[in-house]
Amino acid sequence: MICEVCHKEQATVFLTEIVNGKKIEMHMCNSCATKEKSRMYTEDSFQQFLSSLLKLTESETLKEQKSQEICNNCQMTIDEFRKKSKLGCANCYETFKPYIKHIVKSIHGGELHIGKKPFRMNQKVQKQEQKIFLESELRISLMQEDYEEAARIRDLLAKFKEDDYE
Amino acid sequence: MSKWYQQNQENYPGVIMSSRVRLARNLRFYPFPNRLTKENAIELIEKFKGKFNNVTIDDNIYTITNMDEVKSIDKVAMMEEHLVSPNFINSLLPSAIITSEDDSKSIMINEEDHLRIQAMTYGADLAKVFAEANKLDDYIEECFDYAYNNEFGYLTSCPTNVGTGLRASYMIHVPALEASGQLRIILDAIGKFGIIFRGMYGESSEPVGSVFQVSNQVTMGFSEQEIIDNLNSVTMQVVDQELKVREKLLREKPLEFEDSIYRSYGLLKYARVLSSKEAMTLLSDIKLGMEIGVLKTDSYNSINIFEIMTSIQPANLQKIENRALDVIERDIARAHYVRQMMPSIKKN
Repeated sequence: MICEVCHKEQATVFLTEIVNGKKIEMHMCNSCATKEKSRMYTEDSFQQFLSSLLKLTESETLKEQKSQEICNNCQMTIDEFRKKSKLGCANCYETFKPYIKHIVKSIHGGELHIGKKPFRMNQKVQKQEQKIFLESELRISLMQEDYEEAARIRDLLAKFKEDDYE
Repeated sequence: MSKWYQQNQENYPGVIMSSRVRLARNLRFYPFPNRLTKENAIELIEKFKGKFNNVTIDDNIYTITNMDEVKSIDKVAMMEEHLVSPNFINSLLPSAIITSEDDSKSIMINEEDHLRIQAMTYGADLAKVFAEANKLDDYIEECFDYAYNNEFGYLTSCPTNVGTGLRASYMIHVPALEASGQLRIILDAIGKFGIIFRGMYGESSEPVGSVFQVSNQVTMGFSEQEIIDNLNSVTMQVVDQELKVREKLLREKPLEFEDSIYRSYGLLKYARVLSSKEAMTLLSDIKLGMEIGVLKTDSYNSINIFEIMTSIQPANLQKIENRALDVIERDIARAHYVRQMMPSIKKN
């Protein structure tokens, strides 16, 4: 069999590629197959793959996204993100949230981070949670007319506010 | 100081040649590198200079180098040593690299993300490299605010890295699986576990010398430990299978096996001109031969193939020879270098 690319050499390689769900089969000579292989191995092909993935998921989510198409921090647009598959800044994750959630789920399966948290930031979050907890405890103790306990919690909360001003 | 991969050959690593962990991080108040101005990029590097110039962290001394001060041959050599990515040395944005003395720990500044924290080691020890990268991450987090939110985790330029930002990988040598055609079947199967196989030099490289990088693809929805455990269990099964197939090859075709390994040894020991690809294939053969006990040499049970494979790459070879070499000169220099590195055969 003759190579289907250069139509000159003897075909020695049988290549199967799946593009957009369609199976393409080709018989090629060794040198054409090498060229083809390097095309398939380039980073561009990964970008293309991701871009096409983004296009596939766009239909349902893009509608919800119309109102906020541009990131007000870095001026990234959905179109540009779709082309380059790179976001411009941390704020893009807020701007394009529904869209990104969709992509993240299709790439990773999961859609919620459960790994490491930055230590300092985590302390702030914990503090916030503790504050909310204390406020609800305060309401409970007031309802139960346990004023001693309420006073104790109030002092703790006051300390929180002091820390915030520091 | 010698590099992390220039280890005593007695500690031969077998199937798993090296372990590596990379964490992708961005600072909160700067746009990601693809939106970063030149001025901002320089400012960011300057901030890190303040924190990383001759600083000791966890008993390692770190230095920071601007990439525009590095000669282009040294940049390529760094890439061959897996210290930097091809993207990084081709980038037009001002960039810098922070390194420990033996290059085992490093941070690329202004790659695809502001920071790519990396730790590598010889042989199989992901737990160690992860702990090392984690310590660097903690140190940086004490100094700067990261781009992070509770839902998406660590925010990265590309959503493929978001969440933990963790890419853990092993470099493995699986000649028997490749020769028997089993690798293809395994590749199909492990995709289901969120694990990917690539050539020695990452995404755009073709596999040579039966050396592959196996790494996690999924970075979100699992903890760092779960990602590492998953990669470990998949890799260990691949290693197990490789060892089984090696024994089978030896059992079924002992003469052909021994013959082909000694032929490869002969070529490496006496050839005067060697292309990179040919050298890698032959080195792979003799590594296998020594580990399985067919090729009996005066030295150890294996060779430090990682060091040889790195040294015979174009830029490293020119650094060893200390002059610029064209393709033919490189092939001659490569053959010369490999000849000297070949252990002698045991006389019996």
